[in-house]
Amino acid sequence: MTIKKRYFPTQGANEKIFLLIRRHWFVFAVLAFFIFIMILPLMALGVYWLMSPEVFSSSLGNFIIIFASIYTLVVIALSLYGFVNYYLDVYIITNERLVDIKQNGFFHREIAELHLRQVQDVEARVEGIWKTLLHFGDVYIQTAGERENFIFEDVPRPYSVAKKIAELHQQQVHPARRPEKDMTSKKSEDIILKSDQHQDEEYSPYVDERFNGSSKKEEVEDIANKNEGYGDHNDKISSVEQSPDRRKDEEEKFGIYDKPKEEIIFNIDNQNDNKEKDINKGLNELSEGEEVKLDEHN
Amino acid sequence: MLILLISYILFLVGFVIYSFSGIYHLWRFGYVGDLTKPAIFIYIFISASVITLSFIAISLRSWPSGF
Repeated sequence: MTIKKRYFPTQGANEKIFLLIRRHWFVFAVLAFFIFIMILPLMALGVYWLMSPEVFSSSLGNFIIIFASIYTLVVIALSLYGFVNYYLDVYIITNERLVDIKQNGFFHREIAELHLRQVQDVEARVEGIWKTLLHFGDVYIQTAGERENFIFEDVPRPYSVAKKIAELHQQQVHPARRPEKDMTSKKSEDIILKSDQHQDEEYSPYVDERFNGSSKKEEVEDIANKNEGYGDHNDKISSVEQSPDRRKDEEEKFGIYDKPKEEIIFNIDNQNDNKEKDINKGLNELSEGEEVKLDEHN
Repeated sequence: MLILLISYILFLVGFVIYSFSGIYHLWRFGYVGDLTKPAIFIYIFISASVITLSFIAISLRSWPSGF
């Protein structure tokens, strides 16, 4: 679902909003509970007035009326303050970046942004009995460089949010999807696509690492960087195949082509499952393609 | 007892200013279709009701003219 209205000051004309998240309603329910506790003395006072009206006929009654009115208005004002603090805190996920809008009181508003390219790792945490029962928690987004990490606090269905961020990050870093015809081309399927479930995967350094089956991530990313601009990992692999000398160099470096095809496929499957296990953990109840609602209150 | 009434009126002035600040933020930073507009309406309705009832209660009682 995309929204065309501008939701934050620096939103680009073509920037699409995928998720607009507020904190879980339970956070506001805690505040509402305290407001309710504050209202209880007023209710007791009203009942007492109905049962013993003569007590309020003296000048004490005047004082009680003024005091009760002020107390009621203070409670209402605190409710407004809590609602503004809660409801104007918004986390926005677009196709280009993450936006964290924090409203602290009436006169303190912060807007922090993080480009999806700067996302290094996304982690969802659900801690505590209430968060577990009500399916909300925190999403930690580790950033590249010295930037402060992003934290989406108390968001509904954090695993789903983390998965969405990871998907958008992949699309942002590697926008060129593998064309369908190349998926089934003879050149590439001999090496990579032995399993149908991987045919929709995008090209990424991570895929390279799985393909490599080694822990030399830097070397793999180096190859991935060289491939940038060509748009397709399969093309690169196939060109390696056409050059026996280069293929030999690659074999010595990574030792991947000597492995049986079944072993390569095994590595792809295992590491794919392990990598996505963290993100998909706890998503059993979510249906495929389901996204976090725009507004959990509605 | 007049000091009570004067205090209450001064409090109401502060309350109105405070309310304008909060309502401005909800109006300014709310999004189309969200709960900010209903919240503004409910807040104004409840506040106005409390203030009106308090003034009715005050007007129905006798207040000594001294401070």
